[in-house]
Order: sequence, then structure tokens, then C-alpha cells
Amino acid sequence: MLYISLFVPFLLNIILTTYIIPRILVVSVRKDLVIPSETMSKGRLRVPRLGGVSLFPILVISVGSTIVLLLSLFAESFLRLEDKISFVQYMFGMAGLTTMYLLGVMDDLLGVSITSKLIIQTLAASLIPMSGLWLDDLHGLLGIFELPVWIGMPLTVLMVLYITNAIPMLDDVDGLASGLAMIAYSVLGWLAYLAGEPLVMIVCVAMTGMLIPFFYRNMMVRRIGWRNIYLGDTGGLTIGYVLSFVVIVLSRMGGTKLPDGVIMTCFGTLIIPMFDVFRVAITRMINHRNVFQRDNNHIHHRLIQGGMRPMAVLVTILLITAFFVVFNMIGVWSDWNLSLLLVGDVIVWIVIQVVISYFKNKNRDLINNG
Amino acid sequence: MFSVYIPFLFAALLGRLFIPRVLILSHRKRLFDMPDERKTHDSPVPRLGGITFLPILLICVCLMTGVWVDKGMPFQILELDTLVIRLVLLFVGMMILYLVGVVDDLIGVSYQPKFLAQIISAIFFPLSGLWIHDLSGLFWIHEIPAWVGIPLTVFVVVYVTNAINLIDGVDGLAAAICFVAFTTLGLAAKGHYILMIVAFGMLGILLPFWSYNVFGNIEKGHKIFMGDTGSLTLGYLVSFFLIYMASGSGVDFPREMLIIGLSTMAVPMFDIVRVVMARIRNHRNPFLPDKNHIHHKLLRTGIGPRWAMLILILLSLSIILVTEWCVDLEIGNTWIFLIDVGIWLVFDYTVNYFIQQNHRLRYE
Repeated sequence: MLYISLFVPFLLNIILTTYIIPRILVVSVRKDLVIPSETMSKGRLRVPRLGGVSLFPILVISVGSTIVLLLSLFAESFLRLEDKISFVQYMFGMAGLTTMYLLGVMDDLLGVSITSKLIIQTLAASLIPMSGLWLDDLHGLLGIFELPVWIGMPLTVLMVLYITNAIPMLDDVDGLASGLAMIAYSVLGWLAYLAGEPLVMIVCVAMTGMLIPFFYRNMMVRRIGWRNIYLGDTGGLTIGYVLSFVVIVLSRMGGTKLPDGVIMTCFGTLIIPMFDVFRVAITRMINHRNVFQRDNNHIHHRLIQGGMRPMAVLVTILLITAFFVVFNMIGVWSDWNLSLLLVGDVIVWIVIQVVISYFKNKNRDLINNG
Repeated sequence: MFSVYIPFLFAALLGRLFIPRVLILSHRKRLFDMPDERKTHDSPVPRLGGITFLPILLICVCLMTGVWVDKGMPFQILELDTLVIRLVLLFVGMMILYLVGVVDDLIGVSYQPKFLAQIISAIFFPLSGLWIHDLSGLFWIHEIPAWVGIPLTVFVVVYVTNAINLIDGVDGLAAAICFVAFTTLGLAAKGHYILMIVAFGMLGILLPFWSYNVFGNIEKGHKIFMGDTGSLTLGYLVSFFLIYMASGSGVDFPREMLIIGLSTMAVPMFDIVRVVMARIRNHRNPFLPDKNHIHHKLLRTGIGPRWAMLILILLSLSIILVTEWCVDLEIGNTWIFLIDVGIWLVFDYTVNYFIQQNHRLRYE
């Protein structure tokens, strides 16, 4: 059963995505759906940003067929789907994911104003707490334990919105969004395996599997001369929504099926985008600019300004993510105080920022001087 | 009545919100259907209306089912996991057809891969335990073994899916025929709440789509077609209902559900038989399109497209009503089927007569 739920979605997704990506490219080139990216890619070939359109259908197909396969083979042992509550949760999550998908497609093709985007995202995000999935316990993070409903639910909506919007920011460097999401999903999938949650594990494995062809294509563009493809907003929103759903499901298991405080490990996989969005937003507010306006101040932009090539930026960020994951995992498993762990994360983050700023300034001086 | 009005209104609202966006999108990105000789319109009209069906249906059904289970409403049908298998496979199959349909609407797909996708998604029904195991007296056959019933099921699914696809040639025709079919099937599914949610949710989407399709102004860019995406997903959903009810006939549903279900699709299904026979008689490929479908013939009698649509809907309605009436009289499924064929033949010959008159008028 374990092997089926691991390999079927994984291989199925690799095959499906590899099959679909060229078709998306053909459609978007022939129908001229290629939108120039505003921030990066100066003077290069215009890159289609519709890769994410394939994620949601493939997720439905692969997870659906795996569930059906498992249900018909191991009807009694599999998925406590007779458990009404989780059925409701997955149904609501599915509805929210579809909404996000529609929003993303519209945004990629037409552009949606920030207000309506936020409203629709909030609606989709509030489906998760409405189905009974909300952060009810912080396990001592910042000294907080149990949360009442009226704080926990808005907090969950905020978290979902936060994660969902943090992922599309990463889409400017080849393979960054897919690579980071792959790390996050593999870690979360492993946690789901530890917790004995086959359905969550299938979703995680499926997402990892379908991101591999994107990552591979992004890596191989320069070498083979393939056409590049970005995940776009659709991809970012889909990845982010599923990610936050999984993170919240797993966080709620801390203390029962997983070690107390697993919430830090779950969010540890997402530290880079989350902290970075936070820093960028504060910088924009200090400079009295619109918080939602895109600019070149994200961590990957800063690394590039520091004189790194995009490939090196990718490797650096993935390594930092891996470090954070391992760090938080060690911390949680050896029962450190969660607040101290958070402080540790923040300190490491600040050190990294200082180092980046140092190199950035040095590089700027170099350019200015000669 | 929760399972009737709320999904209907919710889906109608979503469709009303989403279809104009699709219109803007296709106009701005020039995703048009370039006029060719088979179609009956001549200025560019977007044919992406069908891409709204599946996502809206998914949102609607998931939300409603979730709320339904959450509120602890009675589950009369089955245990939850059989239901989950069927619903999930339904949506997996629809998703496959959706992907094929979108690519077909945008850049065109030849009929072999389309057929392959239809057969694959049709096989999902027998896999989830839904197949016609009882003809309930049609052609005097009752129980049929699995090795006949399963291929028959796949055949019926592919047949119905293609029938909807091919009837989609006049504004609003396919949508309206499906509208009638879903109303009949949804009302027949009384007590099976999930099925009712799906049926009435789909009706809710079809309503705004239909009004845009029929009354939309081409010059203002308000007209939209459902395209292959729409007709494939619609046809698949209709055949899901047919098979579901036929396979439960005698247990969950009245025994005559098979014939009632088939009668809702009688117009497109009989038409395909006639067209394919005509093509084979003329030694042409039965899969390549031509202008010999029933709506083309109706247009050749000299009436406008809206009248053609109206006449065909009345025909479909009358076949359904006659079937239900005959079911009440209990005269046996075979005779009901023959009566339906009879109505169809009378209609076809009448149309032929008017075509000839129209030609004669034109020549004189």
C-alpha cells in the first residue's frame, strides 16, 4: 500500500507533466499567450508563464486515480474516509483550490486587479477554517498554547493568504519556485508518512512528482536549447494553496501523531518565502510605496545584485532552505523551546541578510568604481 | 430542497460571473473560432464557453457535498467510500476530456487522440462498478453478463459524448438539449441527493451560458460557444447519469430508468446513426465532419437557427414525454423504443419533405 501511494502518483505525474508541458508551449506560442515578465528577462526570449495551468488538472487526475486504486484494493484499511470530518475538509479544500485555479488563470492571461484578487483569495482561504481546519494550538510558540476560535480562524486565513502569495514571488529565477516547493513537499510528505496520513502523503508526493519536469526543464534550458516555461501565477497559487492546506493539516497533528511543536517544522520549510515577503513588505512601507507593487527587492534579486549568476542563486537559496528544514527538525525532535527555535531562525535569517547586503554593496561599489 | 435550489442558484451565479470574464479573455487574446464552411455563423466568436463548466461544477459540487455531510444530512444512497470512488472517477474522467477539449478548442486535435481520451474516460465507469447489467426488457433482453455489459457501457458513453459533440452546431441547441436531459434526470434522481446536486449544479451553469449563447450580440462580443470542451464534459456527465441510473435500475431506481435516460438523448443519438449510415453509403470516412446533421437539414428547410433550436427541443421534449407516458402504461421497453424511433422517422421525413419544397421554391 505504501509503495502504491508513493510510486503511482509520482510516476504518473512525471509522465503526465512531461507530456503536457510541450503542448502548453505549443498552444501559448501559437495563440500568442506569451506575456512579457515585468521584472526579469531583459532582452531574452519571452517565456510563457502558463506552466501552472497544468498543475491543477494533473493533481486531480493523479490523486483521484490513486485514491480510487487504493480504495478498491485496500478498502478497509485505507483512508479513514468514513471519517466524515476529513471528507468535508477535502471537499472544501478542493473547492478552494478550484477557485484559486480560476483566479490564477485569469490573472495570468488578463491580469486581475489587486482588490478583487485579495477578495477572491480570502474567500477561498476562508474555506479551510470553515471546514474545521484551523490552527487551534501553537504548542508554546511565543508562549501561546491553545487558541480560541475567534483568533485561530482569522489567523488560519491570514496564514493561507500569506503562504499563497509568497510562492508566486519566487517565480523570477529559473527553477526557484519549483525547487523550493519540491523541498517543502518532500519534507511534508515525509511528515505525513510519520503521522500515518496516506491521503496527505499522496498529495505531497503527487505535487513533488509534477514539479520535477518543470524543474528539469528550467535547468536544462540553456544546455539543450529547450524553450523555457514559468509556473506563473496559476502555478504559484495552486502550489501555495495546497501547501498551506497540508501545512495546516499536519500542524494540527502536533502532540498526537507527531511530536509536539511540529508546527515549526511545517512552517520551517517555508521560512525563506515567508520571511522574505515580510521583509519586503516592511521595506516598502518604510519607503512609503505601495505594498503590492512588484519591485526588485526580493532575496533572489538581491543575490543577483550581489554578483551571483541565476544558477548560483538557485543553489544558494535551496541550500539555505535545506538548512532551515534540518535545523527546525532537529529542534522539534529534541524538544527545544519553540520560541527559542523561532528566535534562532530569525537570527540566522538576519545574519544571511547582512551577508547579502555586504556583498551587494561591495558589488555596487565595484561597478561604480570601474 | 437544499439539493435543488441552492446548487442551481450558486452555479448560476458563478457562471454569470465567470462567463463574461472568459469573453473578455478570448476577445483580448484573440482566441477565436475561425469561421469554416461547416459552421453556421460567419464572424469570429469565441468558443471557450465550455471551459467554465468543469471548474464551476467542481466548486459547486465540492462545496455542497461538504456542507451536506457537515450538516449531517441523511445519506441514503451508499456508504461514503463507494460514493467517493464514483465521484472521484467522474471528475478524473471529466478532467481528461477537459484537457483534450481545451487543446482542441485552441489549436485543434485530430479525432484519434480525442477518441482515445473518450474511451479511457469511459472505461472509468465500469471500473467504479457502474455498468449496464440489465437491459430491463429492451429487445426482450434482461440480465446481461459482464463481458457484454461492460463493453456496451463504454460504447454508450462514447456514443453519448460524441452525440452531444456533434449536435453542437446551432446556437444553444446542445446546451438546451442537455438542459432538458438534466432536468429529467435530476427529477428522476429523487432522494439521491448527491446526484441531484450534480444535476442541478450543471443546470445552473447551463442557464447563463445558454442566454449568452443564444441572445448574445456578436457585434458587441457577447456571444460565446461551448466548443469541444463544453460538449465533451457535458456529454460525459449526461452519460454518467444514464449509466448510474441504468445500473441501479430495479434496486435504487425504477426499472424503466434505462429507457427514460436514453430517451432524453434520443434526438442526438438517432441523428448520429442516420448521419453515419449516410456517410458509409456515400463511401466517406464516418468520422470526418460534414453538413448532414439534423440541424443543418432543418436550416435547409429555410427556417432560422432559433426556430431550428426550438423545434428540436420540442421534439426532444415530446419524445421524453411520450416515453414517460408509455412507461406509465407499461407496454414494455422494446415497444417504447420502437415508438420513439417512429416519432423520429416521422419527423425526419417531414423535414425531408420541407427541404424538397424549399428547393423547389428556390428553383422556381
